[in-house]
Order: sequence, then structure tokens, then C-alpha cells
Amino acid sequence: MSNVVKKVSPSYQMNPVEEAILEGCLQGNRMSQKKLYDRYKDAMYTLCYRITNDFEMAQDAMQEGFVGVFRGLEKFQRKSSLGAWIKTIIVRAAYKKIKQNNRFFESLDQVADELILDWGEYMTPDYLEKAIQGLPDGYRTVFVLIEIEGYSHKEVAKMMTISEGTSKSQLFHAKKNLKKQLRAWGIER
Amino acid sequence: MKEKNRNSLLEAIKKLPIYEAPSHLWNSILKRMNIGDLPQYKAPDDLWANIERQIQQANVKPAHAYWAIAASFLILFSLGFLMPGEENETRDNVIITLEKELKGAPVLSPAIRSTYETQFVALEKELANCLMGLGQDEIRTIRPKLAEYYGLASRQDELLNDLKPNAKNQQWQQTLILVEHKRNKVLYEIFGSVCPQHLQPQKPNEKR
Repeated sequence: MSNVVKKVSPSYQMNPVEEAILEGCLQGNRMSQKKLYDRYKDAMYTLCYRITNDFEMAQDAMQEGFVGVFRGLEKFQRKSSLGAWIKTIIVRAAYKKIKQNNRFFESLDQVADELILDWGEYMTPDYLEKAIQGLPDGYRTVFVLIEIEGYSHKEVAKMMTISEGTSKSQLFHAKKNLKKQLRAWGIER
Repeated sequence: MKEKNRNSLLEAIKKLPIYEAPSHLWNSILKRMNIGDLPQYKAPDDLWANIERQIQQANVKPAHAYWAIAASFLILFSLGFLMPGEENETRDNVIITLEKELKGAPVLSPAIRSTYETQFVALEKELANCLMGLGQDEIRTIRPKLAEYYGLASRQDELLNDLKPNAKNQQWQQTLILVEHKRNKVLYEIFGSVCPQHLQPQKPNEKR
């Protein structure tokens, strides 16, 4: 007799509001589509902008991403929140944009993924935002996804079809660059 | 120390600004999704400008204007450019234009104006109910009709703009009447396919 227990991914319990919006969207209800868009638009637009570092490209990514969301909703398997699923599609659309613009990841040797950033007391979100915007595309994308959006290296690697080692090295160099920039502004000690 | 630094990074990240998505993005998304095959499509602003121009030119009688506006709401709702509840300002502008242009006409009596407004509100509510129930298939069905409607409306506009009305120019008048008749027929068909009987305009061959 086999004692093997199959692991089944539990279905994500969606809240009733999200459930109703999803159902409406699946039936092609325009009101529900608008509600879904309104619920996530600002967060997704911000994410697109942080990845592309360009408002026009962010808008293009939003268009392509949300068209993909509405066309692909039937494939949503409820293994995560609807927001998390949408975010993955939007991230891919934004990443595709920077790739289309021939802005590739640098090939880097694998390095340690930890770098301590010693923030000075005058550090503000504005400085951080400016410093993030100054990062090269590959560094910035990985920094945004891991440090701001909370993805793991494994998830980032899968989304961007890069190795985990590349993701780690990109993060390392992102932090190193940030440190350099912040030091130049007299913020990082 | 490492933990402290990590926390300060997280604190700064939490306070990063959120950017507001531009309002036109939703329309762009809808265009990409649904109306790539609508060749006669005009932007909503153009549509309203078109209706207002027709009213100003007094070539549209109040009853026609009423249904033209209603049709526009239908089109805007069904394509997702306008959501029920967002139309009040636009409607008010159209009513003001209508009043201005038809000054002195019976339609402007307070009672009729009130009826007009009541009709609008009722129509909007019912249209909203109808349209909320529309699925992709129904929208797909009426889309060619919308394209035809836009095509005929554009043609009518061309006729009105290209040649000034002249009693002697019978061909021009006949063409205009024909285009207008066709347009109203299409309008009726659009409404007929999605609205209950009491919301539908008069059939073209039954009017006045």
C-alpha cells in the first residue's frame, strides 16, 4: 500500500467583492472590468513606471498587461490572490517593454546577494525614488521586484526567464549602485 | 545593526510615492480589447461635438436629438467609455445646448423640460440596467450596427457641412433624407436588439 500523500495547492480564498468582480469579468460585464481596473490601476501603473523608468513605456505596459489580464482571466486558477496574478502579468508586460527597447540585463558573475545599506537619518522616500530611477534597467527591475514588491529570487527568475544567480547578482549590484549614489548625495554613510 | 538597516530600508520603501494612472488609459485598453474592428469609430468627444453640432444646426428635431443622445449613451456604455452615473455633466451640457438653440420652442416650457430631464434619468437608469446585463456576444452583435450608425452619421455630417441647404437642390435634400432615414433605422435596430419595447424609439416608418 502506498503511503505517498499528494500535495495539492490549496485554492486561494478570495474575498466576496473580488469574487463578484471576477465573476462579472468572466461574463464580459463591462462594469466589472472597469471595477477590476480601478481597483488595481494605480498600484500597477506605479509598478510599471518603476520597472520601465519611463511614463510612456509604463502606459504601454499597462495597456498590454490589462488586455492580457482580461483575455486571460479564464485561465486564472485561484492559486493566489487575483491581485497577485494580475501583478505577475503586468510585471511581464513591463519587462517585455524594456527588453523590446534593447535594454538587457548585464551578464554578471554570481555574487553574494546581501549588501548592507547604512541609511543616514536624512534619507527620504524622494531620495530613494530618485536613486532607484538612476539604476540601470536590470538592476532596477530586480530591486523593485524583490525589495519593493516582495518577490523571491526564485519567482523573479521564473518571471524573467533568468537564473536565480543572475537575479541575486542584479540585486547585489543594484544595492551597490544605490549606495554609491546615496553616498554622492551625502545621505549614505 | 544589519536588522536596523534593513528596517530603515523597508520604512523608506513603504513611503515611496504611488503614481496615478492617467485617465485615458482605460479607454486605450478598451480600444485594444474590443473595437479594433470598428472602422467608423469616433472618440467620445467627437461624438458629443457631432451631436451638439447637429442640434445647433437645428437639423435635428428635439425627439431625434433625444434618441441620438440616448444612442450615444448606449454606444458609450456598451463600449465602456462611460459608466452609468458618469454621464450627468455631459447630459446637462447637451440639454443646455438644446435649450439655447431651440429658444422659444414649446419644448422649453418648464413642464416639458422637466419631462425631458425625467425621461433622461429614467432612460439612463434603464439603459444602465440593460447594458449591465449585456455579454460579449451581444456587444459583438451590435458592434457592426454601431459602425454602420457612425458611418451614416458621418455621411450626414458631410452632407450638412459640404453643401448648404438649398431648396432648389433637390438631390442634396433627397440624399440627406435618405441618409437620415437609414441612420434612424439603424438606431432603431440597435435599440431593438438590446432594449425593452418601451425604451425603443419609434420605428422610422411610423414617425410623424
